[in-house]
Amino acid sequence: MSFRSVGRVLPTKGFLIRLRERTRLLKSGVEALKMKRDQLVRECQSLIPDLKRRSDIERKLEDAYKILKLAYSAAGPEEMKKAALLTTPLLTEMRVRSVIGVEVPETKVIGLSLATSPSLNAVVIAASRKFADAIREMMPLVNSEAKFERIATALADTMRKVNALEKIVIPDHEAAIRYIEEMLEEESLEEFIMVKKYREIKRGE
Amino acid sequence: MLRNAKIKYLVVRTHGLSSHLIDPSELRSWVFIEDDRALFDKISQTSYGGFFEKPEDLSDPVKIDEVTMRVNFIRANKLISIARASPLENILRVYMSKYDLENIRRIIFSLLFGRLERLSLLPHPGYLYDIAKLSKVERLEDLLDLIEERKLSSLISSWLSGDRNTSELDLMLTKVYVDSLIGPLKRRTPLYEIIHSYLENVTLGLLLKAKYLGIGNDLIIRVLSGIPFKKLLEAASQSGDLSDFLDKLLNIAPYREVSIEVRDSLRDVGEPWVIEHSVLKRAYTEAVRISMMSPMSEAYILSYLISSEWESQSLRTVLFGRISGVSKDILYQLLSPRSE
Repeated sequence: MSFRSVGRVLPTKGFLIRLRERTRLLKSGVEALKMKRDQLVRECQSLIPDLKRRSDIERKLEDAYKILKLAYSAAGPEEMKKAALLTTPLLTEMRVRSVIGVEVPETKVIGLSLATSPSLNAVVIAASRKFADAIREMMPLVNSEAKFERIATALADTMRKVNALEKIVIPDHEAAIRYIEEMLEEESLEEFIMVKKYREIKRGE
Repeated sequence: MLRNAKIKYLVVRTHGLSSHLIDPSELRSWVFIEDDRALFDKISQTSYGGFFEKPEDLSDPVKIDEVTMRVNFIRANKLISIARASPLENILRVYMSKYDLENIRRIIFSLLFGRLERLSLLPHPGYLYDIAKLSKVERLEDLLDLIEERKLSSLISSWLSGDRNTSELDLMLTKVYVDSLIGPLKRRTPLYEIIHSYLENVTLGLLLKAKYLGIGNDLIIRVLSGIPFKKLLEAASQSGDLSDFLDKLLNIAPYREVSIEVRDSLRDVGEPWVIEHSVLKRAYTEAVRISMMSPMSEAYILSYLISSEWESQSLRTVLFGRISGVSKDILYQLLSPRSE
Protein backbone atom coordinates (compact mmCIF):
# COMPACT_ATOMS: atom_id res chain seq x y z
CA MET A 1 0.00 0.00 0.00
CA SER A 2 1.31 3.52 -0.68
CA PHE A 3 0.14 7.02 0.30
CA ARG A 4 0.93 10.06 -1.87
CA SER A 5 2.89 12.02 0.72
CA VAL A 6 4.09 9.07 2.82
CA GLY A 7 5.38 6.77 0.14
CA ARG A 8 5.39 2.97 0.43
CA VAL A 9 3.88 1.90 3.73
CA LEU A 10 5.12 -1.18 5.55
CA PRO A 11 2.55 -2.49 8.01
CA THR A 12 5.10 -3.07 10.76
CA LYS A 13 5.32 -1.82 14.30
CA GLY A 14 8.69 -0.19 13.65
CA PHE A 15 7.31 1.71 10.69
CA LEU A 16 4.24 2.73 12.72
CA ILE A 17 6.45 4.17 15.47
CA ARG A 18 8.52 6.10 12.91
CA LEU A 19 5.34 7.34 11.20
CA ARG A 20 3.84 8.53 14.50
CA GLU A 21 7.05 10.44 15.31
CA ARG A 22 7.06 11.99 11.87
CA THR A 23 3.40 13.04 12.23
CA ARG A 24 4.12 14.62 15.61
CA LEU A 25 7.00 16.53 14.05
CA LEU A 26 4.82 17.64 11.13
CA LYS A 27 2.14 18.92 13.50
CA SER A 28 4.63 20.96 15.49
CA GLY A 29 6.03 22.22 12.15
CA VAL A 30 2.54 23.35 11.16
CA GLU A 31 2.20 25.18 14.44
CA ALA A 32 5.51 26.94 13.87
CA LEU A 33 4.52 27.84 10.30
CA LYS A 34 1.19 29.17 11.54
CA MET A 35 3.02 31.37 14.01
CA LYS A 36 5.27 32.59 11.20
CA ARG A 37 2.22 33.22 9.00
CA ASP A 38 0.53 35.27 11.71
CA GLN A 39 3.70 37.27 12.31
CA LEU A 40 4.07 37.94 8.56
CA VAL A 41 0.44 39.08 8.38
CA ARG A 42 1.11 41.45 11.28
CA GLU A 43 4.22 42.78 9.49
CA CYS A 44 2.19 43.35 6.31
CA GLN A 45 -0.51 45.15 8.24
CA SER A 46 2.04 47.39 9.91
CA LEU A 47 3.27 48.45 6.45
CA ILE A 48 -0.16 49.52 5.22
CA PRO A 49 -0.03 53.11 6.60
CA ASP A 50 3.33 53.58 4.84
CA LEU A 51 1.97 52.19 1.59
CA LYS A 52 -1.01 54.51 1.75
CA ARG A 53 1.45 57.42 1.42
CA ARG A 54 2.04 56.39 -2.20
CA SER A 55 -0.67 58.75 -3.46
CA ASP A 56 0.96 61.66 -1.56
CA ILE A 57 4.33 60.87 -3.11
CA GLU A 58 2.77 60.54 -6.55
CA ARG A 59 1.16 63.94 -6.09
CA LYS A 60 4.52 65.40 -5.07
CA LEU A 61 6.14 63.91 -8.17
CA GLU A 62 3.34 65.34 -10.32
CA ASP A 63 4.00 68.76 -8.80
CA ALA A 64 7.71 68.35 -9.47
CA TYR A 65 6.98 67.46 -13.10
CA LYS A 66 4.72 70.50 -13.42
CA ILE A 67 7.54 72.75 -12.21
CA LEU A 68 9.95 70.92 -14.52
CA LYS A 69 7.65 71.73 -17.44
CA LEU A 70 7.63 75.36 -16.37
CA ALA A 71 11.41 75.26 -16.01
CA TYR A 72 11.72 73.90 -19.50
CA SER A 73 9.45 76.58 -20.91
CA ALA A 74 11.06 79.41 -19.01
CA ALA A 75 14.72 78.39 -19.06
CA GLY A 76 15.20 75.99 -21.96
CA PRO A 77 17.52 73.02 -22.41
CA GLU A 78 20.76 75.06 -22.16
CA GLU A 79 19.96 76.09 -18.61
CA MET A 80 19.02 72.51 -17.78
CA LYS A 81 22.42 71.36 -19.04
CA LYS A 82 24.05 73.95 -16.83
CA ALA A 83 22.10 72.72 -13.81
CA ALA A 84 23.22 69.19 -14.63
CA LEU A 85 26.84 70.34 -14.18
CA LEU A 86 26.06 71.11 -10.55
CA THR A 87 24.62 67.75 -9.65
CA THR A 88 26.35 64.87 -7.99
CA PRO A 89 25.17 61.31 -8.71
CA LEU A 90 22.43 59.94 -6.48
CA LEU A 91 24.24 57.84 -3.87
CA THR A 92 22.36 55.19 -1.96
CA GLU A 93 23.35 52.67 0.67
CA MET A 94 21.63 49.31 0.68
CA ARG A 95 21.61 46.64 3.35
CA VAL A 96 19.61 43.49 3.77
CA ARG A 97 17.65 42.88 6.99
CA SER A 98 15.98 39.68 8.05
CA VAL A 99 12.34 39.83 9.15
CA ILE A 100 11.30 36.37 10.50
CA GLY A 101 13.68 34.73 8.10
CA VAL A 102 12.59 36.86 5.13
CA GLU A 103 15.38 38.95 3.66
CA VAL A 104 14.21 42.50 2.95
CA PRO A 105 16.32 45.23 1.31
CA GLU A 106 16.64 48.63 2.95
CA THR A 107 17.86 51.57 0.88
CA LYS A 108 19.00 54.88 2.30
CA VAL A 109 19.83 58.03 0.31
CA ILE A 110 23.24 59.23 1.38
CA GLY A 111 24.01 61.66 -1.42
CA LEU A 112 21.44 63.68 -3.31
CA SER A 113 22.41 67.23 -3.96
CA LEU A 114 22.47 70.10 -6.40
CA ALA A 115 25.11 72.61 -5.47
CA THR A 116 23.55 75.98 -4.81
CA SER A 117 24.08 78.56 -7.49
CA PRO A 118 22.08 81.79 -7.67
CA SER A 119 23.10 82.05 -11.33
CA LEU A 120 20.68 79.23 -12.11
CA ASN A 121 17.22 80.15 -13.25
CA ALA A 122 14.87 80.26 -10.23
CA VAL A 123 12.45 77.86 -11.86
CA VAL A 124 15.24 75.32 -12.47
CA ILE A 125 16.26 75.61 -8.80
CA ALA A 126 12.60 75.11 -7.84
CA ALA A 127 12.27 72.03 -10.07
CA SER A 128 15.46 70.44 -8.75
CA ARG A 129 14.39 71.09 -5.14
CA LYS A 130 10.97 69.60 -5.75
CA PHE A 131 12.51 66.48 -7.27
CA ALA A 132 15.08 66.13 -4.51
CA ASP A 133 12.33 66.39 -1.88
CA ALA A 134 10.13 63.90 -3.73
CA ILE A 135 13.01 61.41 -4.05
CA ARG A 136 13.90 61.80 -0.37
CA GLU A 137 10.30 61.15 0.62
CA MET A 138 9.97 58.36 -1.91
CA MET A 139 12.80 56.29 -0.41
CA PRO A 140 10.93 55.14 2.75
CA LEU A 141 8.01 54.20 0.49
CA VAL A 142 10.36 52.28 -1.83
CA ASN A 143 11.67 50.41 1.22
CA SER A 144 8.17 49.68 2.48
CA GLU A 145 7.01 48.48 -0.93
CA ALA A 146 10.04 46.23 -1.37
CA LYS A 147 9.55 44.89 2.16
CA PHE A 148 5.84 44.32 1.57
CA GLU A 149 6.54 42.53 -1.71
CA ARG A 150 9.09 40.17 -0.13
CA ILE A 151 6.93 39.53 2.94
CA ALA A 152 3.83 38.95 0.80
CA THR A 153 5.75 36.37 -1.27
CA ALA A 154 6.98 34.67 1.90
CA LEU A 155 3.45 34.80 3.34
CA ALA A 156 1.97 33.13 0.26
CA ASP A 157 4.70 30.50 0.44
CA THR A 158 4.08 29.86 4.14
CA MET A 159 0.32 29.62 3.66
CA ARG A 160 0.83 27.14 0.83
CA LYS A 161 3.04 25.03 3.10
CA VAL A 162 0.55 25.18 6.00
CA ASN A 163 -2.30 24.20 3.70
CA ALA A 164 -0.31 21.37 2.15
CA LEU A 165 0.64 20.03 5.57
CA GLU A 166 -2.81 20.44 7.07
CA LYS A 167 -4.86 19.24 4.12
CA ILE A 168 -2.62 16.64 2.50
CA VAL A 169 0.53 15.57 4.30
CA ILE A 170 -0.77 15.17 7.87
CA PRO A 171 -4.09 13.55 6.81
CA ASP A 172 -2.08 11.17 4.60
CA HIS A 173 0.19 10.31 7.51
CA GLU A 174 -2.78 9.82 9.81
CA ALA A 175 -4.47 7.61 7.23
CA ALA A 176 -1.26 5.61 6.88
CA ILE A 177 -1.07 5.26 10.67
CA ARG A 178 -4.71 4.12 10.78
CA TYR A 179 -4.03 1.67 7.96
CA ILE A 180 -0.99 0.20 9.71
CA GLU A 181 -2.85 0.02 13.01
CA GLU A 182 -5.72 -1.81 11.30
CA MET A 183 -3.30 -4.13 9.52
CA LEU A 184 -1.44 -4.85 12.76
CA GLU A 185 -4.73 -5.42 14.60
CA GLU A 186 -5.91 -7.78 11.86
CA GLU A 187 -2.57 -9.56 11.98
CA SER A 188 -2.74 -9.97 15.76
CA LEU A 189 -6.37 -11.16 15.52
CA GLU A 190 -5.37 -13.66 12.85
CA GLU A 191 -2.51 -14.84 15.02
CA PHE A 192 -4.86 -15.17 18.04
CA ILE A 193 -7.32 -17.26 15.99
CA MET A 194 -4.47 -19.40 14.65
CA VAL A 195 -3.21 -20.00 18.18
CA LYS A 196 -6.76 -20.80 19.39
CA LYS A 197 -7.31 -23.23 16.49
CA TYR A 198 -3.96 -24.84 17.14
CA ARG A 199 -4.86 -25.33 20.82
CA GLU A 200 -8.26 -26.86 19.89
CA ILE A 201 -6.65 -29.22 17.44
CA LYS A 202 -4.03 -30.22 19.97
CA ARG A 203 -6.68 -30.72 22.69
CA GLY A 204 -8.72 -32.93 20.31
CA GLU A 205 -5.85 -35.29 19.70
CA MET B 1 24.58 115.87 -27.88
CA LEU B 2 26.79 113.22 -29.33
CA ARG B 3 30.15 114.47 -30.52
CA ASN B 4 31.58 111.31 -31.98
CA ALA B 5 30.31 110.86 -35.54
CA LYS B 6 30.70 107.10 -35.36
CA ILE B 7 28.51 106.90 -32.27
CA LYS B 8 25.96 109.22 -33.89
CA TYR B 9 25.88 106.86 -36.85
CA LEU B 10 25.59 103.89 -34.51
CA VAL B 11 22.61 105.42 -32.68
CA VAL B 12 20.87 106.11 -35.99
CA ARG B 13 21.61 102.57 -37.19
CA THR B 14 20.26 101.20 -33.92
CA HIS B 15 17.02 103.08 -34.51
CA GLY B 16 16.87 101.32 -37.87
CA LEU B 17 17.68 97.94 -36.33
CA SER B 18 15.04 98.46 -33.63
CA SER B 19 12.39 98.38 -36.32
CA HIS B 20 13.28 94.69 -36.84
CA LEU B 21 12.35 93.84 -33.27
CA ILE B 22 9.05 92.06 -32.86
CA ASP B 23 6.31 94.13 -31.30
CA PRO B 24 5.97 92.74 -27.73
CA SER B 25 2.16 92.67 -27.85
CA GLU B 26 2.24 90.75 -31.14
CA LEU B 27 4.77 88.30 -29.71
CA ARG B 28 2.51 87.75 -26.71
CA SER B 29 -0.41 87.01 -28.99
CA TRP B 30 1.58 84.12 -30.56
CA VAL B 31 0.93 82.19 -27.37
CA PHE B 32 -2.61 81.55 -28.65
CA ILE B 33 -1.64 80.33 -32.15
CA GLU B 34 -2.47 76.62 -32.27
CA ASP B 35 -1.26 75.80 -35.76
CA ASP B 36 2.49 75.20 -36.18
CA ARG B 37 2.42 76.34 -39.80
CA ALA B 38 0.72 79.66 -38.92
CA LEU B 39 3.28 80.31 -36.15
CA PHE B 40 6.12 79.34 -38.47
CA ASP B 41 4.84 81.84 -41.06
CA LYS B 42 4.76 84.58 -38.42
CA ILE B 43 8.31 83.78 -37.23
CA SER B 44 9.58 83.54 -40.82
CA GLN B 45 8.98 87.28 -41.20
CA THR B 46 11.27 88.10 -38.26
CA SER B 47 15.05 88.00 -37.73
CA TYR B 48 14.64 84.45 -36.43
CA GLY B 49 12.95 83.30 -39.64
CA GLY B 50 16.16 82.57 -41.50
CA PHE B 51 17.26 80.02 -38.91
CA PHE B 52 14.08 77.98 -38.69
CA GLU B 53 13.84 75.89 -41.86
CA LYS B 54 10.54 74.09 -41.33
CA PRO B 55 7.57 74.19 -38.91
CA GLU B 56 8.93 71.07 -37.16
CA ASP B 57 11.95 73.15 -36.01
CA LEU B 58 9.59 75.02 -33.69
CA SER B 59 9.25 71.81 -31.69
CA ASP B 60 12.99 71.28 -31.33
CA PRO B 61 14.14 72.81 -28.00
CA VAL B 62 17.83 72.64 -28.87
CA LYS B 63 17.22 74.46 -32.14
CA ILE B 64 15.09 77.12 -30.41
CA ASP B 65 17.80 77.70 -27.80
CA GLU B 66 20.48 77.93 -30.46
CA VAL B 67 18.52 80.26 -32.78
CA THR B 68 17.42 82.71 -30.10
CA MET B 69 20.95 82.95 -28.74
CA ARG B 70 22.46 83.25 -32.20
CA VAL B 71 20.14 86.12 -33.20
CA ASN B 72 21.06 87.94 -30.01
CA PHE B 73 24.77 87.48 -30.63
CA ILE B 74 24.45 88.54 -34.28
CA ARG B 75 22.69 91.74 -33.26
CA ALA B 76 25.29 92.57 -30.61
CA ASN B 77 28.19 91.67 -32.91
CA LYS B 78 26.82 93.96 -35.59
CA LEU B 79 26.73 96.89 -33.17
CA ILE B 80 30.22 96.08 -31.89
CA SER B 81 31.61 95.94 -35.42
CA ILE B 82 30.09 99.34 -36.26
CA ALA B 83 31.37 100.78 -32.98
CA ARG B 84 34.92 99.46 -33.61
CA ALA B 85 37.65 101.80 -32.35
CA SER B 86 35.10 104.07 -30.68
CA PRO B 87 34.77 104.44 -26.88
CA LEU B 88 31.49 102.58 -27.10
CA GLU B 89 33.08 99.40 -28.43
CA ASN B 90 34.55 98.54 -25.06
CA ILE B 91 31.30 99.31 -23.24
CA LEU B 92 29.39 97.01 -25.57
CA ARG B 93 32.02 94.29 -25.20
CA VAL B 94 31.93 94.57 -21.42
CA TYR B 95 28.13 94.52 -21.50
CA MET B 96 28.18 91.33 -23.57
CA SER B 97 30.95 89.83 -21.40
CA LYS B 98 28.17 88.51 -19.15
CA TYR B 99 28.00 85.64 -21.63
CA ASP B 100 31.77 85.13 -21.28
CA LEU B 101 31.37 85.07 -17.50
CA GLU B 102 28.52 82.60 -17.87
CA ASN B 103 30.76 80.34 -19.95
CA ILE B 104 33.61 80.72 -17.44
CA ARG B 105 31.14 79.80 -14.70
CA ARG B 106 30.12 76.68 -16.63
CA ILE B 107 33.74 75.69 -17.22
CA ILE B 108 34.47 76.06 -13.50
CA PHE B 109 31.36 74.08 -12.53
CA SER B 110 32.23 71.26 -14.91
CA LEU B 111 35.79 71.09 -13.58
CA LEU B 112 34.66 71.36 -9.98
CA PHE B 113 32.14 68.54 -10.22
CA GLY B 114 34.10 66.41 -12.72
CA ARG B 115 31.47 66.86 -15.42
CA LEU B 116 33.71 67.93 -18.29
CA GLU B 117 31.96 65.53 -20.65
CA ARG B 118 28.67 67.34 -19.99
CA LEU B 119 30.06 70.84 -20.51
CA SER B 120 27.83 72.85 -22.79
CA LEU B 121 28.82 76.42 -23.58
CA LEU B 122 26.88 79.32 -25.00
CA PRO B 123 27.71 79.52 -28.71
CA HIS B 124 30.06 82.49 -28.72
CA PRO B 125 33.87 82.58 -28.79
CA GLY B 126 33.95 85.43 -26.27
CA TYR B 127 33.75 89.21 -26.10
CA LEU B 128 36.57 89.79 -23.61
CA TYR B 129 37.90 86.31 -22.91
CA ASP B 130 39.02 83.53 -25.24
CA ILE B 131 36.39 80.99 -24.28
CA ALA B 132 37.61 78.33 -26.73
CA LYS B 133 41.02 78.36 -25.01
CA LEU B 134 39.50 78.42 -21.51
CA SER B 135 37.25 75.47 -22.29
CA LYS B 136 40.27 73.28 -23.01
CA VAL B 137 41.80 73.46 -19.54
CA GLU B 138 41.78 70.32 -17.48
CA ARG B 139 42.48 71.77 -14.05
CA LEU B 140 40.86 74.71 -12.29
CA GLU B 141 44.27 76.15 -11.47
CA ASP B 142 45.15 76.31 -15.18
CA LEU B 143 42.30 78.76 -15.76
CA LEU B 144 44.16 81.43 -13.85
CA ASP B 145 47.02 81.49 -16.35
CA LEU B 146 44.60 81.98 -19.23
CA ILE B 147 42.44 84.75 -17.72
CA GLU B 148 44.28 87.96 -18.48
CA GLU B 149 41.93 90.25 -16.58
CA ARG B 150 43.76 90.59 -13.28
CA LYS B 151 40.78 91.34 -11.04
CA LEU B 152 38.88 88.28 -12.21
CA SER B 153 41.88 85.96 -12.04
CA SER B 154 42.77 87.11 -8.51
CA LEU B 155 39.17 86.63 -7.37
CA ILE B 156 39.05 83.14 -8.84
CA SER B 157 42.43 82.42 -7.26
CA SER B 158 41.15 83.45 -3.81
CA TRP B 159 37.99 81.41 -4.39
CA LEU B 160 40.10 78.38 -5.30
CA SER B 161 42.06 78.70 -2.09
CA GLY B 162 38.83 78.90 -0.05
CA ASP B 163 36.10 76.31 0.32
CA ARG B 164 35.07 76.60 -3.35
CA ASN B 165 31.48 77.52 -2.62
CA THR B 166 29.55 77.78 -5.92
CA SER B 167 27.25 80.50 -4.58
CA GLU B 168 30.25 82.61 -3.63
CA LEU B 169 31.60 82.21 -7.17
CA ASP B 170 28.29 83.42 -8.62
CA LEU B 171 28.23 86.46 -6.38
CA MET B 172 31.87 87.20 -7.20
CA LEU B 173 31.35 86.97 -10.95
CA THR B 174 28.34 89.29 -10.71
CA LYS B 175 30.41 91.76 -8.69
CA VAL B 176 33.16 91.64 -11.33
CA TYR B 177 30.58 92.27 -14.04
CA VAL B 178 28.93 95.17 -12.19
CA ASP B 179 32.26 96.82 -11.36
CA SER B 180 33.70 96.45 -14.85
CA LEU B 181 30.57 97.78 -16.56
CA ILE B 182 29.62 100.71 -14.36
CA GLY B 183 33.06 101.62 -13.01
CA PRO B 184 34.44 103.52 -16.00
CA LEU B 185 31.20 105.37 -16.82
CA LYS B 186 30.65 109.08 -16.34
CA ARG B 187 27.80 109.64 -13.89
CA ARG B 188 24.52 111.40 -14.66
CA THR B 189 24.48 110.49 -18.32
CA PRO B 190 21.70 108.49 -20.01
CA LEU B 191 24.23 105.71 -20.65
CA TYR B 192 25.13 105.55 -16.96
CA GLU B 193 21.47 105.61 -16.04
CA ILE B 194 20.50 102.75 -18.32
CA ILE B 195 23.46 100.60 -17.29
CA HIS B 196 22.83 101.40 -13.64
CA SER B 197 19.21 100.35 -14.04
CA TYR B 198 20.16 97.16 -15.89
CA LEU B 199 22.76 96.15 -13.30
CA GLU B 200 20.37 96.97 -10.50
CA ASN B 201 17.99 94.42 -11.99
CA VAL B 202 20.77 91.86 -12.41
CA THR B 203 21.64 92.33 -8.74
CA LEU B 204 17.99 92.23 -7.72
CA GLY B 205 17.54 88.88 -9.50
CA LEU B 206 20.72 87.51 -7.94
CA LEU B 207 19.73 88.59 -4.43
CA LEU B 208 16.22 87.16 -4.76
CA LYS B 209 17.69 83.80 -5.79
CA ALA B 210 20.38 84.01 -3.10
CA LYS B 211 17.63 84.47 -0.50
CA TYR B 212 15.62 81.64 -2.04
CA LEU B 213 18.66 79.38 -1.76
CA GLY B 214 19.22 80.45 1.82
CA ILE B 215 22.66 81.93 1.22
CA GLY B 216 23.89 83.67 4.37
CA ASN B 217 23.92 87.44 4.70
CA ASP B 218 27.60 87.37 5.70
CA LEU B 219 28.60 85.95 2.35
CA ILE B 220 26.32 88.32 0.41
CA ILE B 221 27.66 91.40 2.21
CA ARG B 222 31.29 90.24 2.08
CA VAL B 223 31.23 89.67 -1.68
CA LEU B 224 28.83 92.36 -2.88
CA SER B 225 29.80 95.25 -0.61
CA GLY B 226 30.77 98.23 -2.72
CA ILE B 227 28.18 97.75 -5.44
CA PRO B 228 26.21 100.94 -6.08
CA PHE B 229 22.79 99.58 -5.07
CA LYS B 230 22.82 100.43 -1.40
CA LYS B 231 19.07 100.15 -0.73
CA LEU B 232 18.92 96.73 -2.33
CA LEU B 233 21.91 95.41 -0.43
CA GLU B 234 20.64 96.92 2.80
CA ALA B 235 17.24 95.24 2.38
CA ALA B 236 18.97 91.93 1.67
CA SER B 237 21.29 92.20 4.63
CA GLN B 238 18.42 93.05 6.99
CA SER B 239 16.20 90.17 5.93
CA GLY B 240 16.32 86.49 6.77
CA ASP B 241 14.62 84.41 4.11
CA LEU B 242 13.05 85.14 0.73
CA SER B 243 9.62 86.13 2.02
CA ASP B 244 11.24 88.47 4.52
CA PHE B 245 13.27 90.03 1.71
CA LEU B 246 10.13 90.36 -0.43
CA ASP B 247 8.39 92.12 2.47
CA LYS B 248 11.24 94.59 2.65
CA LEU B 249 11.18 95.15 -1.12
CA LEU B 250 7.45 95.77 -0.99
CA ASN B 251 8.16 98.93 0.97
CA ILE B 252 10.75 100.20 -1.50
CA ALA B 253 8.80 101.75 -4.36
CA PRO B 254 11.00 100.75 -7.34
CA TYR B 255 10.98 97.07 -6.35
CA ARG B 256 7.34 96.84 -5.39
CA GLU B 257 6.10 95.32 -8.66
CA VAL B 258 8.76 92.62 -8.80
CA SER B 259 8.11 91.81 -5.16
CA ILE B 260 4.37 91.42 -5.79
CA GLU B 261 4.93 89.25 -8.86
CA VAL B 262 7.33 86.92 -7.02
CA ARG B 263 5.03 86.75 -3.99
CA ASP B 264 2.11 85.85 -6.26
CA SER B 265 4.11 83.00 -7.79
CA LEU B 266 5.06 81.81 -4.32
CA ARG B 267 1.40 81.85 -3.31
CA ASP B 268 0.10 80.15 -6.49
CA VAL B 269 2.79 77.59 -7.28
CA GLY B 270 4.68 77.46 -4.00
CA GLU B 271 7.92 78.40 -5.74
CA PRO B 272 9.29 81.80 -6.80
CA TRP B 273 9.67 80.59 -10.36
CA VAL B 274 9.03 83.95 -12.07
CA ILE B 275 12.13 85.73 -10.73
CA GLU B 276 13.99 85.78 -14.06
CA HIS B 277 10.97 86.88 -16.05
CA SER B 278 9.97 89.55 -13.58
CA VAL B 279 13.47 90.96 -13.34
CA LEU B 280 14.19 90.86 -17.08
CA LYS B 281 10.77 92.36 -17.77
CA ARG B 282 11.59 95.15 -15.32
CA ALA B 283 15.00 95.67 -16.91
CA TYR B 284 13.38 95.88 -20.35
CA THR B 285 10.64 98.29 -19.24
CA GLU B 286 13.14 100.53 -17.47
CA ALA B 287 15.53 100.45 -20.46
CA VAL B 288 12.75 101.48 -22.83
CA ARG B 289 11.68 104.26 -20.45
CA ILE B 290 15.20 105.67 -20.13
CA SER B 291 15.93 105.43 -23.86
CA MET B 292 12.65 107.19 -24.69
CA MET B 293 13.84 110.18 -22.68
CA SER B 294 17.10 110.39 -24.65
CA PRO B 295 16.55 108.63 -27.95
CA MET B 296 19.67 110.09 -29.55
CA SER B 297 22.08 108.95 -26.85
CA GLU B 298 24.21 105.82 -26.44
CA ALA B 299 21.57 104.68 -23.98
CA TYR B 300 19.39 103.81 -26.95
CA ILE B 301 21.98 101.24 -28.11
CA LEU B 302 21.94 99.51 -24.73
CA SER B 303 18.16 99.69 -24.69
CA TYR B 304 18.14 97.92 -28.06
CA LEU B 305 20.36 95.12 -26.71
CA ILE B 306 18.19 94.69 -23.61
CA SER B 307 15.03 94.72 -25.77
CA SER B 308 16.59 92.10 -28.01
CA GLU B 309 17.28 89.89 -24.98
CA TRP B 310 13.72 90.31 -23.73
CA GLU B 311 12.42 89.50 -27.21
CA SER B 312 14.52 86.31 -27.39
CA GLN B 313 13.42 85.30 -23.91
CA SER B 314 9.78 85.93 -24.82
CA LEU B 315 10.05 83.90 -28.02
CA ARG B 316 11.69 81.05 -26.10
CA THR B 317 8.90 81.19 -23.54
CA VAL B 318 6.26 80.98 -26.30
CA LEU B 319 7.98 78.08 -28.08
CA PHE B 320 9.16 76.09 -25.06
CA GLY B 321 5.78 76.65 -23.42
CA ARG B 322 4.04 75.10 -26.44
CA ILE B 323 6.37 72.09 -26.33
CA SER B 324 5.92 71.58 -22.58
CA GLY B 325 2.15 72.13 -22.73
CA VAL B 326 2.17 75.00 -20.24
CA SER B 327 -1.18 76.81 -20.01
CA LYS B 328 -1.54 79.65 -22.52
CA ASP B 329 -2.80 82.00 -19.82
CA ILE B 330 0.30 81.43 -17.70
CA LEU B 331 2.56 82.08 -20.71
CA TYR B 332 0.64 85.21 -21.65
CA GLN B 333 0.82 86.47 -18.10
CA LEU B 334 4.58 85.86 -18.02
CA LEU B 335 5.08 88.03 -21.08
CA SER B 336 2.69 90.81 -20.13
CA PRO B 337 3.94 93.91 -18.40
CA ARG B 338 2.21 94.09 -15.02
CA SER B 339 1.00 97.60 -15.60
CA GLU B 340 -0.73 96.71 -18.89
